[in-house]
Amino acid sequence: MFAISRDNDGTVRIAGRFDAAQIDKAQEVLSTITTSCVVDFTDLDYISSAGLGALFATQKRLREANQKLTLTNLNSHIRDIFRIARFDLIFDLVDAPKR
Amino acid sequence: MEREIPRDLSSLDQVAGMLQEFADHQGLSEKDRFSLSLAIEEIVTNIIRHQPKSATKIRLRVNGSPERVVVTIVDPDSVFFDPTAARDPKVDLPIEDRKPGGLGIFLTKRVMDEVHYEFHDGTGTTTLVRRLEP
Repeated sequence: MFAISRDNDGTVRIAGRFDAAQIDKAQEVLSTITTSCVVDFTDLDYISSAGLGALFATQKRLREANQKLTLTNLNSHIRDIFRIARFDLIFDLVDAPKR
Repeated sequence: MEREIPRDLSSLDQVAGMLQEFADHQGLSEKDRFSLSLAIEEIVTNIIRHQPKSATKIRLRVNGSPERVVVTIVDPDSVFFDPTAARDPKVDLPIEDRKPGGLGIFLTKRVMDEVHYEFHDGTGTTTLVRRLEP
């Protein structure tokens, strides 16, 4: 199960399993982002390279307008994957790991 | 545990369900579950992307012992693609110089202890091994 939504303050919330089958659904929301915002990972259990790629493409697009995504509350496993992929160089990762 | 899965990304739910069932039975840690789930998805997704129109199903077998988990993914209608020979992406580059793509196999090799590939008569077999911590 995967869910993505946007709060009134612009915060993006993603939840469940962000795998390759969820890219179209994710893009429906990610493509609407035009200014800096927070992406809350609190309820995200899993992400694969497909999900990383979607976030990377969004960050790269925003960067051209001097905007960026900031990612919060990554669980320890997702944080490990970000570290291996060196996505910690591409995104600001903030808050303590969930577990 | 063995399953045949359709060559479609919607099969990833079925793959995740199979792994969860296996992991519950084996009592795998959250880290092992995550790593195995990631590696299996990356290989299965690659197979689907390389040969999406074949009507054949992908065979997935998972075997466990207290020491390790061995996953065998068989594509009976394969084009040759050796993930073990894939060049690693340059992950240390700044965002403006980084290219998308190549991360799936890179991550698979990093979260598994062994990745093997065989190709014979149009059948590609990828074997993933993850050693379990005592």
